[in-house]
Amino acid sequence: MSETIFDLQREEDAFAVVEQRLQISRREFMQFCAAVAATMGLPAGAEAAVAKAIEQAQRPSVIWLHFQECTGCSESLLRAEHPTLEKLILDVISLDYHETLFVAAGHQAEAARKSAMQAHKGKYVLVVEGAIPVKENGIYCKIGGKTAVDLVKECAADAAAVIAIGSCASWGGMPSTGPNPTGASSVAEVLGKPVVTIPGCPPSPYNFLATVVHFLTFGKLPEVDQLGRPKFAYSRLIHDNCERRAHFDAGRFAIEFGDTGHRQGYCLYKLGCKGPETFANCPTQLFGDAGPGTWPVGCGHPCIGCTEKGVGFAKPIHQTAVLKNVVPPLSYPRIVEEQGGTSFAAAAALAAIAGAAAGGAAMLAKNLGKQAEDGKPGTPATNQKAD
Amino acid sequence: MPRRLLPRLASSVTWDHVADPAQFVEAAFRAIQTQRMQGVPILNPALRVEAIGFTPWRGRWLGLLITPWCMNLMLLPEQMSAWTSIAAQERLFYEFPAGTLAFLGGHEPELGEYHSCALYSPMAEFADQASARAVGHAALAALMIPLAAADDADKVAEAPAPPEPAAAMSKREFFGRILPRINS
Repeated sequence: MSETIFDLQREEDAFAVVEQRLQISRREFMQFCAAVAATMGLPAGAEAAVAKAIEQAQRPSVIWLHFQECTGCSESLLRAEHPTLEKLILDVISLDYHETLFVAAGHQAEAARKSAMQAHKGKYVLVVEGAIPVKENGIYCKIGGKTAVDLVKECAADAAAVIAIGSCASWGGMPSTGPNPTGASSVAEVLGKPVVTIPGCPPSPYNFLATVVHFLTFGKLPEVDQLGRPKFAYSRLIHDNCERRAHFDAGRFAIEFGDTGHRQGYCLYKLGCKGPETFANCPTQLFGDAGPGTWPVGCGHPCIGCTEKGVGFAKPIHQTAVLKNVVPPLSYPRIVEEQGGTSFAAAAALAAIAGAAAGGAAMLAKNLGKQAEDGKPGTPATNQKAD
Repeated sequence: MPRRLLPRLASSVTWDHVADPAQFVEAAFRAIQTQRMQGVPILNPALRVEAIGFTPWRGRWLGLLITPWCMNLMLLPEQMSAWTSIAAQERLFYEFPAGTLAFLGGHEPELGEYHSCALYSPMAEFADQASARAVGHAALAALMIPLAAADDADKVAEAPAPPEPAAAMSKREFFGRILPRINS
């Protein structure tokens, strides 16, 4: 009993420290932890573990390199959204080198990078933003007299984890668009080994944050797909969770920008929407924490497939999507409670049902298909929510 | 003297589905296939429009729609008076034993209002109608089984236990239930 009280006291203290450190209320802090836990598809209650990790873990040293990019990824992390988000980011990680945010400049900045790498050897997280040009021995991108190729190799050598943020670092992105004059390449190609990628132009800041927090909470990076993308964020098609999906199903399409269908919010497939061939959580995660509709398709622009190699920056925006043979993912985010304003839990449940149905179709058809055909009604469920 | 109803309201009288609405669902989506889906290059020619497994569920008809371009869970009203109307881009969250699912609003002249939840699209992975139907029945069954149990194939065949209502209740639902009582 006394132990329990002691634990509670310790938790109180930890919270007090966090409140002081972040200068935000406990409520805001827990909301942040819940949002991050939800992004990762962790079950309800996991925010406590996340909170503990953020409270206790020594902030990982992060070295953030910029190459061929527009800094949009950094912007997406630092701008907009909750006024406290950037504070949280800068508290969750110890950003020891970031050219845009650094006060230091020139030789001072490069010296800071070297000393951080030395001090946190084998423990720091390397984040790479931007593609790496490899043509002509990499002369198209140099920082402090060093080529991007040399820099990324040097920094990756002693990194605990390497994360490629944005489409450029993930596979080349916009700079690699044909004819790719600089030989823009991905981090994985240059390092010759797979890395975690968070593609998107820009990617959702929550997907990056959740990946870092996963590293903090569990001591390892999250499970990824064959392209290095965390499965919690990139395992379902945009098309599957799109709010315009009912229009697609009913054959209601916008034919050109500004026409009646477009004004009524019809499906953008015929305008070249790449939703049916692009894996990302944009329809459920949204952008900017600004409520429903705040993502490209929600605003009336077709998805350009920015998270998908060979689609984004490769296919013309107006070209209709080639539909993939989609096999439902083998693992699904597990979450049982609606978190925040998004329909993440609904998306996860849907993925699980679709997957369970496809996976066990033969057996289930034998056992349960008959049951359903016999007209035996299912168990009445609980409540209807009309949010 | 009966009040003259507006056209929309007048037709809404016929939108109550006292019997299995499968034939109306099929008619509406066959029309969509021959009209609005013309020229869309993603239809699976091995499939046809079919509505299966409709059963009464909480004052609604719950079933599944197979088309050459998608497979959806469908909800239709038994009575419009007990139905929540939503626009095509609005989501309505329904709680099933397997979890909470987001349904989008829909409306067709032949059918009236419906809510749909997209399971699959495109349909290229389905070899024939029979396999699509099998997956459809499996999806309807999976809906009524708590997610954790769905992993275990043996448990799937057993009758699912209804979830603890208290555990599933959100704050909003809780106050939604007690507030009318307090107010009255």
